[in-house]
Amino acid sequence: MTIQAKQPAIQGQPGARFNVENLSFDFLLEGRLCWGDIWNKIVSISRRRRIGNIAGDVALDGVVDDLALAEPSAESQKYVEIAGGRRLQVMSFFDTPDNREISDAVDHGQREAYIRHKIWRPDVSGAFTHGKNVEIIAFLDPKTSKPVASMRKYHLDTDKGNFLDFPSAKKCQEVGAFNPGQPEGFLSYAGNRPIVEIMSLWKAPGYGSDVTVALYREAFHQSLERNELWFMGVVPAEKKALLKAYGSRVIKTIGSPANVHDGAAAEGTTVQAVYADPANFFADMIRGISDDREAAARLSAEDDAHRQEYSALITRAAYREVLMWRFYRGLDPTSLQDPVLQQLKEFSNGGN
Amino acid sequence: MEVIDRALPTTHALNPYIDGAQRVEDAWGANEAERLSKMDEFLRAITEHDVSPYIRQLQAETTNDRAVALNMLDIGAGTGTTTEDLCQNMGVTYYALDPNPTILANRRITPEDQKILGRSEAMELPDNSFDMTHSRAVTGWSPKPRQSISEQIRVTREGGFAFFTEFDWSTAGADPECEVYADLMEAKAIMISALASAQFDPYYGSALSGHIDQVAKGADIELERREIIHDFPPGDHRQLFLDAAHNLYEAMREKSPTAGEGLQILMERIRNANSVRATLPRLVTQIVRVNRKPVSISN
Repeated sequence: MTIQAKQPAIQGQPGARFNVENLSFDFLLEGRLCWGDIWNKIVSISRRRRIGNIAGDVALDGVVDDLALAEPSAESQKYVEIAGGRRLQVMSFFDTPDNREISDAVDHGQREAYIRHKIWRPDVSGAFTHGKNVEIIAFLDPKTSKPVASMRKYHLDTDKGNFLDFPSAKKCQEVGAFNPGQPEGFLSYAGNRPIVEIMSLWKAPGYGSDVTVALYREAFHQSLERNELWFMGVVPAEKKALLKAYGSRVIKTIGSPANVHDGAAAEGTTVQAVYADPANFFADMIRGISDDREAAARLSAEDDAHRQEYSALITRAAYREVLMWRFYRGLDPTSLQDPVLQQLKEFSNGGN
Repeated sequence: MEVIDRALPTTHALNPYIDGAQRVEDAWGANEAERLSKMDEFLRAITEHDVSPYIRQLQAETTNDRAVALNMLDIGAGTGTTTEDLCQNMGVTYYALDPNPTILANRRITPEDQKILGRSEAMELPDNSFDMTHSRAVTGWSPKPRQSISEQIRVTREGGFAFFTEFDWSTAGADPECEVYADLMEAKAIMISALASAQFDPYYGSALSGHIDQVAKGADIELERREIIHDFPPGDHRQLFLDAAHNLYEAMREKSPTAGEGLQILMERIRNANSVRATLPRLVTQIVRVNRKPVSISN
């Protein structure tokens, strides 16, 4: 069976253009279930805490747990090559009725992953975020045409989009995770650029962190071309994982963690809004790497007692540099702004 | 377990300073010996450039008052012979110090009574016992680099020379126009992460001068210090790069197979590239003349 995705002609340039005047606070009109995947994640955290299985779920949430290489291909039918020399077909499509078959197949794989990771009980039929605003990036096993990993990007309607239409933004607003003026500040930063919510990353058993990185990279390259800004609502395990992998220069917080007062969420579970700017990704990564190296140099200048801490900082900087070059793969350098290209050039010549 | 810890190659066994490590017993030791022998052409030139003028200077200074030959202690001698060859050619008695007995046993040219088992940060040798001391890519591995520097200076006699040479990877990189630009940069980052996780300091060459000055100040020793920076000449040095990468791959592939596989793919691409424009790590030499202050005795 081969599943073909059909791109809707009506989408045009996805994503909404905002200004502060667009904001409305009618988020309460929609029910909790519309919160979709974030809700599921919070439920999962409560279960993880009970069963002490944080590490496994962190991996599901997109943490890079090794340094395997996943390589984009230049063929017309897009593939990524992953660890072990395997190839996966890359598909990107909107969740429209035309793409129902592939969308259902993604749902099936994601549901199995959520049950396997004890995010969902086998007897519960949860709902993923669906609709024409949802763009899915999926990796398929070419032999079976079945999705083995995917992530979703939630776009706002271009004509009537509202920041608080994002499932996570809505929840953050509901629980008080935004301080006064913060959504407006973020929207001011965004200016006329489209914003997308990144959500719902999963992968099948037997696929490693190289697949996770490759998914993020696909979404990143796509967003770079479209000048999109990334918004995410994250629970603590996700935030920790993202910060460890990419650092606070890349993953920027909006507001503060807020308790989720919900019957199904564990006591103390929090949600926080974060964003990342693909246009500045390389510049932000270089700044983070330089931060670590400079901190290490300061420790080295003090005395020998900090040797292990020094090594840890240098190691982390190198690790993030590996990630940065992974994101560079398959990228058309002309899609980068001149100052970013210049920073990459200086970095490559040792000038950090 | 911390994410970053999981993410990194497990390479502690590379570091001879970490307890339990038996560098020569595994593939790392043998491969590293072979790799360094391939680098001899470069290292020999550097050693001769940096060291031979000072041997001649000491020989000229000591001709009148010393009948015996000058001696030199090669700290962390490993398997290399460039320093030993230089000493032989210039009539200097050569001593090899290394923490690994197997490495010492395998040094065929060095006379047995000139082999010393010991560690750079705690040498069981008398003060002022060598006219010259030499260490290359040794202090950068030490968990106590200042103590290693202090020890090297301690065993160097008053008026003698201590030579320190260390790598500095901060200047290593690739030309963005190079066809394997991202491959080179990523391979370099993987190698640095592997070395750093083994607690080797890949940037130690840039810190060395500051550490030497701190040691001197703390011990109230007067030093004359001269720095020589060696940048590899322009050219396609991919084989040196690949040899180093290959050794790290061998060291990490068992415990970090995915990281090893990633590095292997990158190496293959670099190997097959039409041309490679990369800058190799810089070597920094600090030449230190020890002029200890006289100890003042008050009544």
